Amino acid sequence: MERISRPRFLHFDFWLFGATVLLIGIGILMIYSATACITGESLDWQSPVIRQMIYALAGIVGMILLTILDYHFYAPLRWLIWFGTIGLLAIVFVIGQITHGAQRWIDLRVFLLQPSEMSKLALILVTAKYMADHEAEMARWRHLGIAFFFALVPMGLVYFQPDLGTTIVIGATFGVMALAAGMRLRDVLIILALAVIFAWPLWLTLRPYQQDRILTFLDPGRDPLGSGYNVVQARIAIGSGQWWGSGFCGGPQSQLRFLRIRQTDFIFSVISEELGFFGALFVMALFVLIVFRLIRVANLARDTYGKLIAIGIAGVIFIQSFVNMGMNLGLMPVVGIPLPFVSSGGSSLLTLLTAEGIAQSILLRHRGLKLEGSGKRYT
Amino acid sequence: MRAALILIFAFGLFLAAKLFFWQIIQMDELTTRGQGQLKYKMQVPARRGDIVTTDGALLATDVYVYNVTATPRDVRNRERVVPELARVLKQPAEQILAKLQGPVTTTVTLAQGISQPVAEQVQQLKEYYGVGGLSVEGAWARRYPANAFAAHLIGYVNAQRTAAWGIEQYKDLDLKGVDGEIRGTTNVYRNDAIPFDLPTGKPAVDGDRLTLTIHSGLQRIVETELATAVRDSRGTGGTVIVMHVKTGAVVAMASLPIADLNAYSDLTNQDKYANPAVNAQYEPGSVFKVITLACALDAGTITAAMVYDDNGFINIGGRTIRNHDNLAPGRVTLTDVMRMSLNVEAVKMSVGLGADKFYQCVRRFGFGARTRVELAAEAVGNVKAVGDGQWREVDLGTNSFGQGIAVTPLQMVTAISAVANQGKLMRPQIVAAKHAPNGKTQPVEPELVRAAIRPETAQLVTRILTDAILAESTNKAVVPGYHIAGKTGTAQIPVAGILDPRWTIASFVGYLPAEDPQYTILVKIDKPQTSEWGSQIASPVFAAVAKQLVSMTGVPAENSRVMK
Repeated sequence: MERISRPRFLHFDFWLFGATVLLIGIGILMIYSATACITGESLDWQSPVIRQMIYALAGIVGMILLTILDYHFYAPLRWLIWFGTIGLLAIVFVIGQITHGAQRWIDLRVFLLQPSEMSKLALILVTAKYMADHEAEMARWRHLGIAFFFALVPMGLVYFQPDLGTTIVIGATFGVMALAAGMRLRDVLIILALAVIFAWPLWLTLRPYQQDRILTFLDPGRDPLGSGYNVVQARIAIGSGQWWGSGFCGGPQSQLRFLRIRQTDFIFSVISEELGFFGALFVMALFVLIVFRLIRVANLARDTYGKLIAIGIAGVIFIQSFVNMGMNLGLMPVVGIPLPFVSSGGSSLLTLLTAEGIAQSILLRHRGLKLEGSGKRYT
Repeated sequence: MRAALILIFAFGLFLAAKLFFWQIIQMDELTTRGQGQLKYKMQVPARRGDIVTTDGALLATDVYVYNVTATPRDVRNRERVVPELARVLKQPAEQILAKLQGPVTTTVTLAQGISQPVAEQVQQLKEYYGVGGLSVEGAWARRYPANAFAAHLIGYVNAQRTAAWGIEQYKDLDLKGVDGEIRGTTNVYRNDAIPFDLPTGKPAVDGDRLTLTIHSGLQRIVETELATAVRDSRGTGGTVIVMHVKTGAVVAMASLPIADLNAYSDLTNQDKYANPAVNAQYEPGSVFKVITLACALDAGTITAAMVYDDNGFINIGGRTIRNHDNLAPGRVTLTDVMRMSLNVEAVKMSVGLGADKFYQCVRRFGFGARTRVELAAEAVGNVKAVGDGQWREVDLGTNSFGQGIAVTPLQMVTAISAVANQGKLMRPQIVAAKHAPNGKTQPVEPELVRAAIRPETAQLVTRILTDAILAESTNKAVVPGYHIAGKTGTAQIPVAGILDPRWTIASFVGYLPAEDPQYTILVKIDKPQTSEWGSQIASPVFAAVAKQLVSMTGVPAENSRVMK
């Protein structure tokens, strides 16, 4: 590991870091509003608020440590990472906790581990290495196919948990990385055409509740008290928030529990209701800022490996936040994807902070630093 | 890269636009919808007032019971829950399961009117298995502890709290009270009202308790005697009314057939709750001659001292009217006319009065108009009027002896009571007092409708009727120690406008003691088969009721010297 000199540390992206910490802070406040405010229970170690704070602290410490660690450290470990992820995803089927009809968690006594969250980052690291190694050949089907295979195995495992949302996120992230690695747009269109052709048999493998959600997305009035319920309640929460919101712990939709799964998938509706249009817009702006800063990291990366990792991280955060806010706003089907940094949940938060640590590590070692002493800055 | 940035920015704008649409443009509509689902309104049902007799017997009361309803789609874990429910509710499991198979979104009633211990078991079941779609709710339900006793008077209130017939329907507004309500804001589970929005509402105001003029002891006697008479004469039904002469208070009123008020949902009982004493009308027959006699005496077209020559027939309106059994008794007094119930002489009286005066007098006695008794759906009766298109000249004749004229038993007993009461027609009274839930009692005062005839005429009629009964050896309306004024009637029943000779209504209306009349008793037996005559069928019932009545109420026995 190379030593980080003082001026190099100054390249740490405080915009990215600041936006992230702000989002986490807003998230903790909103989790508090969505849980403790309602029940009036004291904040103990079991409460989602305290847990989220612990995850945030641990995650930020980890992020800083990973910033110091050179990201090339992961390259030789890729097989360990890939098989480790597959292994964890497979274990879920054996000893996983079943909640809401899905088997997604491994009980670690103090922590419910959700391997599918970690698999997103693992996939980025593994495929980035393969794509970087075959940079000039990504336009070829063979290499595209091999790279996709790395994604396909975990996607399949996650899909059958079943977790449609995460499957889509992994697939889309792979697509973004592949495009950045030189995949031709024409091939994307071909794949999309094939996807449409294969969509029908795939549709048949969806669980009834998943089909239901997609149908409800297409027509929310279809079953107002069933799967369309939350979409309607989210809409009411958002509309009730108006310009400035009904205030912290003051949103009837959230506080009186009309809104369900409000501290996770529908936390954006709580934000909209209690912090208003401007609060929600601010959150959106923070996401745009984070994604832009991560793309900047990709632009500055010293090598393709670093660039593709950064693109993948930007892609994951962008896709997740867009899909999550989109489903809160009725633009997307309800597929059960948390809002990055904001939704309650340790696996997601720790994974994302780890990813940002890697991104900062890439930034700290960006190519501008090759020209030490020239005085030219590549920022 | 630039394309990617623009794309991301565009996606962001798209989201922001959608956010703006829901949060700003749809603001009012969604806010209203949100507030709408936070509000709850709960009815606090008022307790319906009791109905008691003047001596305190409880006829109708409200009890708090429980209903079990279910929303089929939310009833989970059926294979465990349904058998338990069946055991607790004492219903076959298949029956409960069948109800739960219905349309998923509707609410089905699994049990109604169950007691608190059973309801508690259902609630425990619900909590133990966590059955979301099961609901136990309390509500007031009407109960009739006396079952079929005085049933026609009371009427009933069904499960939907709708009153039918009798006092229940007529005094519904007083009895039912005013439901209260609670309004507030609550969470989605309706179990946690939010503290900063205190529930508001108004309390329920319970209904008034009503005391009837009915005396339960006498009502029991009347019902027993009526049942015996109808059974012994193999009649289809009948009515007995006992009215207090001076106040018009109904102290007993019974009719047959009758059914248990708690069994109103039984379809075979449907036609048994209408009160024949006020809801049905009949042709009174010879009893009506009392009215004709009173009208003629009051107008002065006849005098008590007159002697008549009855040759057995009279022509009117192109028809010949004869006495029953073609009697042609020759020279008769007014007492003889009543004793022998001579149709021909009654016709002479009404003809002597003329149509105008006769019908005016009949209407003064309250016929052809409601008595305004406080019972539901009172019938009007049918008194024809000159020039109404129905009336023919012959009606003036037949009406005089109670044919071609329809009255209710209550109208009849009220009119005869007017004769007994110095000619003063009283409004029949059924409610003695109204007791508000705050303890305030509002007694109902007797109400004079009008003087139908002069007191002297009334006394004269009473004397003639008393003499006629005394002289009539076959009449069984005898109460030892008391003079009775009264008149029998045997009327045929018009079926589609034609009198059917096979079926009759045997009746007797009388009052006692003749010197100072206290009670009028009307007895009417429908379609008796052992004898068609009022004097044979109805008079003994009158006597039986009157004997117990005088002993119960302490009406002083006769001093015959006062009469002569």
